[in-house]
Amino acid sequence: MITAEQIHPLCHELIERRKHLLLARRTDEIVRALAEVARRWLEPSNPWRQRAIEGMPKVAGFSPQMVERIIDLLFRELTGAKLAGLVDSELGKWKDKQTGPPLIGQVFSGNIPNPAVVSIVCALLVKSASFCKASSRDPLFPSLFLASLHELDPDLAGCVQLQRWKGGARDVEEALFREANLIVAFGDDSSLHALRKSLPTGKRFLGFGHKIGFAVVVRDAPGDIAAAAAEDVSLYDQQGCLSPHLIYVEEDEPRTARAFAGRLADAMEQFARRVPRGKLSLEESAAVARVRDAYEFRAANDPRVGIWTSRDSDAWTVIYEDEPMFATSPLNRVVFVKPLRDLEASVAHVRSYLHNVGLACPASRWTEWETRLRGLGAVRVCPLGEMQKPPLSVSEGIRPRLSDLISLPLL
Amino acid sequence: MKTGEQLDTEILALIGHGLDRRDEGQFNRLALDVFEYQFAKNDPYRRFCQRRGAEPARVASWREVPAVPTTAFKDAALACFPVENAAVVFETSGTSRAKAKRGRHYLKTTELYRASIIPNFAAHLLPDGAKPPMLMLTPSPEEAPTSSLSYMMGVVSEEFGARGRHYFIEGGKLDAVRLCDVLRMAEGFDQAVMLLGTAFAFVHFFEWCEKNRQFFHLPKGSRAMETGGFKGRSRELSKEDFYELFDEFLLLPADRVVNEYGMTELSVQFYDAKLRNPKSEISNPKCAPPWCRVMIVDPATGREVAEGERGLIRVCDLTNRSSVMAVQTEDIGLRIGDGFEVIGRATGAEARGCSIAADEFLAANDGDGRK
Repeated sequence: MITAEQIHPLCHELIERRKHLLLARRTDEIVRALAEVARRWLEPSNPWRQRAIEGMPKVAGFSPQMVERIIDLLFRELTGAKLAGLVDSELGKWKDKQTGPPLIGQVFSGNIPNPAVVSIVCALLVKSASFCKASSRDPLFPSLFLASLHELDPDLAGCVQLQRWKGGARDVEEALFREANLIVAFGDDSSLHALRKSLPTGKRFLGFGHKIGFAVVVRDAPGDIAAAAAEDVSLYDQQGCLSPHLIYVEEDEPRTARAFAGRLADAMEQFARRVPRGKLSLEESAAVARVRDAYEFRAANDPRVGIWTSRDSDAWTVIYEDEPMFATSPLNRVVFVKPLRDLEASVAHVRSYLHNVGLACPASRWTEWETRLRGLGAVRVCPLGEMQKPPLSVSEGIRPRLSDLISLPLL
Repeated sequence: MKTGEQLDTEILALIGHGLDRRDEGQFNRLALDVFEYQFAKNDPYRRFCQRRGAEPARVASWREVPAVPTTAFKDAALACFPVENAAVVFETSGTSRAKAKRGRHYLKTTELYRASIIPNFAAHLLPDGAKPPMLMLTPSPEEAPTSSLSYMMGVVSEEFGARGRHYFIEGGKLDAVRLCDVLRMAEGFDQAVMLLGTAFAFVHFFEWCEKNRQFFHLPKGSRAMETGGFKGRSRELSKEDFYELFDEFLLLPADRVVNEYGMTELSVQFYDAKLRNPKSEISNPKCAPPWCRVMIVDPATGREVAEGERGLIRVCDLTNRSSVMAVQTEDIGLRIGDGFEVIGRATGAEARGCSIAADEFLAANDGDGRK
């Protein structure tokens, strides 16, 4: 682990390299290199991909099949066309003329690698060097990504440092925050708050907090809704900030929502067979058991409650409850299904965390529903089945915008 | 099927044999009889068992008897009799969250409850036959009639508290000054005492001692029983740091402080065996008395974990004859031989990614601990 004394020389070196290796490059060349790395990761035989599939289950607790999905979801968005589109839409005429600051300090958290990789990519696109703190829950994936970048383009990779230190190691963090021109951080509210408080006055900070997602199934929605919902719940084992805790179902008759829960259970089983859930800690497993036991007892004694569970394992759980109040899930593929009633009042207590909403809806009612959901505080409203597939162009709350990274001209 | 009275007689006889005679066959027969009885008499429990596909004709061992989660005591009246006939009703502690319902444990009679408390308490806290004055850092049973802990304090003080009984929590407040005076008197008369209370009441007292520079040297033979977690009522402490405070403020070494593990939903209590087996190894797991069994189960499958592994604590308590015998707790335990060690409440599972898990969201405790 790194010490505070090592920070200054490393940062100095990064800034020098950036001056010589990154500023001299055209953005299009950087895009080409990144896209090529991404393309290679998508090849089944790619050794970095293989190492991630082998290592991530132990480090981050995902099944190998899930790691494959994660790799595909991540790198399919990093194509040349999409990266170029991102640069055009967020930098436009500033491309190559205006660059990001010499050094961005980045703090990663959690076991989902996508935000870290995308954030490193964003910094490179604006020609900033990055000094990154790896997440304790996933120190592996970003380092494999950087190694793969190094193999193809050592100059680019040389402008990124990834290090580990214990969260809250004040002296190390303060040393980094002094050197970096801008801090980008991912984490829960309390860690972001603590980080922000420890910054030197006036230091720019972009924080990306934890979030809660849900889904809405509107009457007469077309398509295989249960399969789409199962995929949205199950991907990333429901750990992602885009993952739904709960699915509201608009009822045309009293048992619509309950019937949907049954179909969702089948779809959860199907998905689990293709992509098993990862291994849980005892505490996580106990949290799932607690919810399952409580609802199993209630389901036995209350016709307004139903529960469907994987057999002889806690791989997935679907809970139907007639009470519409938003319920937060213990995650790890435990999802609530509730009838849609008094939506505004039902989600009031989680409103400040609401972010991503998956919507299954007839085309004719989309605008009406999107407006209503945005009125509740939803930052992103997307079709159900796409909750975990935000296009690279989506930035709100999940990655820094390139325009937020470039240094604004002094007024 | 046996009647409730017949079962009570048999369970009382089993308790009467004392703590050292364990007969697996007899326990299993009695547990299956109790299961048959509860399946017939306790409607919400029967529906739960049926959902799990368990019924008396198909259950051959107490290990297969479905265990109700402690939350079930909030959702239903889990009793084998009309609850208006209950001799006593114990309630779980509430929380500041008005929404949280309290769990209720209805007992038909107090006979089994009392019979279970006395020999177990005597063996683990008074193995030397001493009868020190009892200083309770709890409300009295009169003040807290629905608290199972206060009820238990009442039972043990009636049985063993010939030298006086004193409750130091009144109107929800710890009377530290009076407790301090009593401890000074005990020092003066060289009278060993027994302190009993919740962990957070002890912490409050030690905080008061620190603030007021009060340090005691409790006479030889003194002892303490502490129970329950801290649950946001005082600062959180590790077990070691907590026991260190007994030594610092009372000069009571850790081997004289016994942890009790109990809960509103059970009639049985579990104790550290420190005083009972003072010469045994450092590891002193809790053991169930002969009228009770404990399983440590894997939360994912509900199956018993291997020796030395952690899991959720599940209790099969015959003295819960008039409610539900098999109870699934939310506490994590470590299986050690026939006994177990309590690791703590299984809450606080955090999201590993960037969502927010229910436990984190409901950071406030859910209030089904023991009052």
